[in-house]
Amino acid sequence: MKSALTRDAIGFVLMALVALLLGIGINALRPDPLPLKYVSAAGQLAAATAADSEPTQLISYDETRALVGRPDVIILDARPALFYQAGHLPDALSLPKETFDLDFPKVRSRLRASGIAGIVIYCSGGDCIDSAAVAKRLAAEKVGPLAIYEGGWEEWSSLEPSAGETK
Amino acid sequence: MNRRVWLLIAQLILAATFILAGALKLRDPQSFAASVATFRVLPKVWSNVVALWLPPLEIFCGTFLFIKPWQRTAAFTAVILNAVFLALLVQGLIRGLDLECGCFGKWDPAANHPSLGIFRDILLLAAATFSYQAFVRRSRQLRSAPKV
Repeated sequence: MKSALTRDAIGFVLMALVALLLGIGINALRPDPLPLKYVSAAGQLAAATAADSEPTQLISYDETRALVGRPDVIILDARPALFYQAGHLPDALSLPKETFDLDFPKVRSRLRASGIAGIVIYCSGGDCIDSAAVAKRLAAEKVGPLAIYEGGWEEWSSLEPSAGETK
Repeated sequence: MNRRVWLLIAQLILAATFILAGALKLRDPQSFAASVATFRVLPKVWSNVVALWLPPLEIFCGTFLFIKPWQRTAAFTAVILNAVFLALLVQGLIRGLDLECGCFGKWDPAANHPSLGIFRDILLLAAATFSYQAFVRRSRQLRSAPKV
């Protein structure tokens, strides 16, 4: 029994090694291969647009806190509408990644209004990808300047005692 | 129903689950890497490597459940994978993490419901353990059968 288990364990390791090589090989053939070192989607976008005339910036909780409530700053919630309804940053508008095409026309005029100094986008937390996806779509629509609050709802709701009441 | 039919059902469920899960994750490795990072078990920098490695392993596991010399190894792999998935979900639930299961990409009904994912993993772990035991029993019987 012991030797059979050892044989199965060796088989597992072999299968895992081949899978790793195959996974890296498939990734190398992709048009946009994933780097081996993880960087959050927001971090990747910030790095990719760093040299642009209007780069997408990453902002902290404190910076976001200072921007919330300013009439010339728009806060966008990129999470699915259900999560937005459960709670969101003060005065945030809902623009989910999944329904961007449907919802963007509803907020377009506000985002393009004159005097808008910036648009802050957030999703659930530091590793979510929805804020970066929405930022990309907004950049393609020539809307900006854009900033991503990386800490997202997870950080905001843990640091803001009244966060659950912003419904 | 006899044991052979139960084994076939368990193999079919496991194979379909692993191949589907692997194929969906293979299509969108970036989303899966983000899901891996939400578990906060490995250092985040490793999330992409896991996201590239796991989908082919799941597809191998599901496919090899029906390829004779590899059936037992595939069932053993299914046990290990399901046990690890279950442990990851449970630790996330205990730590109160905002997990994204990522098991079936964005089509996962348990994506934001770890308890549903835990229930599913318990069933799959039971099916994998049953299959592995059946394959071990079968290989023992083959070894002890009189040689002609």
